[in-house]
Amino acid sequence: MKQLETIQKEFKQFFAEGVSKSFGGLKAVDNFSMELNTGEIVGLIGPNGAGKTTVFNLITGMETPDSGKFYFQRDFITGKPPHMISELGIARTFQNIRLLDYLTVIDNIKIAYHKHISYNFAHASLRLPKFFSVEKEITEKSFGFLELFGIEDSAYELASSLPYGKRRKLEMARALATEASLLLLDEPAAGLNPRETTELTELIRKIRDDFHVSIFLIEHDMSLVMNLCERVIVLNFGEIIAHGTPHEVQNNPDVIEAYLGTGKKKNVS
Amino acid sequence: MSWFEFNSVLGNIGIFAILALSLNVICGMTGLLQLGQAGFFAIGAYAAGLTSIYFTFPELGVLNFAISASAAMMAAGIFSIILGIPCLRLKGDYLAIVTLGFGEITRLVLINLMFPGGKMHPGEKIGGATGIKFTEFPGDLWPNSPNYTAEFASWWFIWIAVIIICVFLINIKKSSFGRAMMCIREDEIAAQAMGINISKYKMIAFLLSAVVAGLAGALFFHKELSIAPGKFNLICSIEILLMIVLGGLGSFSGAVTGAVVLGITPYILRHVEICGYRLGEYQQLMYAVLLIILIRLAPNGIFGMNEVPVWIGKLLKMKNKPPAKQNETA
Amino acid sequence: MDNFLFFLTSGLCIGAVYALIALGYTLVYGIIKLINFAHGEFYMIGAYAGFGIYLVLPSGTPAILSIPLIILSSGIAGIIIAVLTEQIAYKPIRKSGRLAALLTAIGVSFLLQNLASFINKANPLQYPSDKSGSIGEICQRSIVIGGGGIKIIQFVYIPLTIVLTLILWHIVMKTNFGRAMRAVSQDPDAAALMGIDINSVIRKTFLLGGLMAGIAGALIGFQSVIEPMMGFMPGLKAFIAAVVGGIGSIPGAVLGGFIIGIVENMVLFCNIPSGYKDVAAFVVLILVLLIRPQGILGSNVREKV
Repeated sequence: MKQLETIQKEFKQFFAEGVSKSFGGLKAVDNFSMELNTGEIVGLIGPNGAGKTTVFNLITGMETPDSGKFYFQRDFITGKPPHMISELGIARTFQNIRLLDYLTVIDNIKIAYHKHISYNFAHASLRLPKFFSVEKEITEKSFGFLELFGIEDSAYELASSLPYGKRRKLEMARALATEASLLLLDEPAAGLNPRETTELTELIRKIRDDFHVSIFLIEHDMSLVMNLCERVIVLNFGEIIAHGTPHEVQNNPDVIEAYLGTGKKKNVS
Repeated sequence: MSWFEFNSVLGNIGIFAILALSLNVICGMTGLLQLGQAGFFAIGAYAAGLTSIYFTFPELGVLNFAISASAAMMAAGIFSIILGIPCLRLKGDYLAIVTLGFGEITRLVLINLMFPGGKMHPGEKIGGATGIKFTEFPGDLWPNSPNYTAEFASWWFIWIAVIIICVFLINIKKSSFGRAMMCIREDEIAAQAMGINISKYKMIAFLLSAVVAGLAGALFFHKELSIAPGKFNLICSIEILLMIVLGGLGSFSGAVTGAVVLGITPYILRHVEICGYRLGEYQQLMYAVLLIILIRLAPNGIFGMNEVPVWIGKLLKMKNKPPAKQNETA
Repeated sequence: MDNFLFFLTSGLCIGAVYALIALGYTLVYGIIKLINFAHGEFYMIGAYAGFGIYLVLPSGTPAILSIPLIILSSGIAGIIIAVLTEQIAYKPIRKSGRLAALLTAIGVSFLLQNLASFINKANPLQYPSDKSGSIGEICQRSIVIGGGGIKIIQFVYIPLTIVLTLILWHIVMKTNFGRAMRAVSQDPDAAALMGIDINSVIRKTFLLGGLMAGIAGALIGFQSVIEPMMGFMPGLKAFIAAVVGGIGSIPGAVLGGFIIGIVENMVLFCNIPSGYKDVAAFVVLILVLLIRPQGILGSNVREKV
């Protein structure tokens, strides 16, 4: 039985086991465990302050867990620094969008290719041919992503000039461009109106289908969660209080008690 | 102004242009506030000076400059690593103070440190507050090359260096390396999420900045032939900062422009009189007022973060075109 | 052992002065996260103002009266220059970011140094010690401790610093104003929403800082020369002291001040050439920032992702 479990673990793309984290006296995350298969879309919901972003921070290496383990594609990733976790193939977006406002939109995407750059200092400073060929490739790929999200017209404008909806898209495009196999999206629908939210739902599904990425997302907008997520994990005060399909979770009395019940109400961000 | 003076002034402005370029790497591009650049300038100058004093081979001619400049850049580089490692963890203001401290420590140590005189100054120690200087009588040391001079850094030599370094650095800026450093400047957390190793790139910025400043120091020694610690003080570091703020933080062409403007101004002021007050005397005062006003009214400087001012670009109708579509992306 | 006592006492006395200046730094930094580079110049102007009052006082005034008057007027001068600087230079750029604030502070520092240079063109000033019973003469009197002469006036420094620190501590911890200060230092926007007048709180904080610096200026003015650049090094060292003790912490500033004062003098005690004395403070800074970046008594602030 143990052996079967081990084999099963190996087939899961991502695995969290007994992760806990305290800040001072406050237990932010308590015995968090989950698994994720390649290509799944899983949602993480819970009231404000439940510890959801902390879970993301723990996965991406911004915080180190006090106990517990993370596995990603059979690699033990707990405690690795954020840039290494990004290299291994996990990308994230942020609750408060973190774009590089004073760089152009296309430069924001090009940053995503940073770890795939094959030229070195000498090529760059002396402008050797290898530099030009690699840069051309990056520019083409970056434009590809901009077109996918419909923001290619603003490619050479500063990121700060984009309206809010497009900024959200740019951040997602950037995360996708890192060629990650697991995307962590932190409240991707925050601040979007219902039409934009529907558009986003379609977009996320398309991304999963076309790019074969798994998606783990935090969201307060229940319509997006219900329509998009195959499984949902509910967090409250750092603990998992429910886990299952969106429908199961919606009817779970513990969840209703901890949270809102209707699924149509949207949190004001 | 005599031709000789003009030469010297032009050369000085060039050296400061290189210093401004160096500071722009770390302050403008990477966003780390460094107030001790005078320290690396000094280390470079002294390394070049001492190397020249101890190891000059007149037969090699200009290669002697290559030797001392290499020593200068290596020395500056080594110290930048020593300084950089503790500084990696520091943020904003703390970094400013530590680097300021580094600059001051360097100056204070150089005021107190004495070096052996070697063959050039036999029997005496050199250094301390009066500094070090190259021999004025090359014929005594090298009877076969009585006319040897270490004064390699003529104004055109320096300005060729300025142009080469500027192009070099702009190339770095418009590459993945520059993007990574600017990403660190804008948002460290986003940079980490993009796979950028923050510590590595901050170290690269420190190193690059110090090495270029060290080169400026070498040029300085080979121009003046006599250097003393007094020049390499906090005011010097602040002047360099003022130059890149004026030119636009993040712009290398701006750094050079700022250096030129700030370098020429004292000489213009010297000849200007308003209401019987010769403005030249009030130079430092005016710098102080200029700094305060500049921050308030024109915080982006002349060029902002761009290499070519935006309006010139529009004038010449230089517009970026999207790449030609070869395949439809999926 | 003899010598040690001398250096220890010297260190404590100068440490008390550094502590006073450091208090100003820590208050201002705590409230608006600005390193007020010009703080050392407030100290310098305090010294000049004190001397100015001295020149104005009738020559027969007994020292027991004139010394407190000088200290008082130095304090007031410190207050005036601090509040003026805040209103004219710092307030307009409050929202402009760290670099702008730092550069403006540097600019103000240079400005004040140069203004002082213009006013005091000739030799540095010093309280004349020719007449017996005059301030200058009294301040030169010294007693021998541990094999070296300590000026008697220096014994005022430590008690004065302690008293002022206690008063400051009381203000910050026990009064409404102090509560407002702590609120603004934690979250200015929230404090404003709670009805706290931010501008007033910041102005009064500068007032307190300037007062401390001015008084420190008077004290040092008594025992050494007054010249335009006198604020540069002590200002820097006092800032280092504030950081070492934990920036934003009042006891930290005082602790840091004494540490720097003592370490400096220990350098001399160990027969290291005196030219390196100033380096000591920087070395301590770098060590502390490496081992415990928030300072000895400081608290860690995390950035929220």
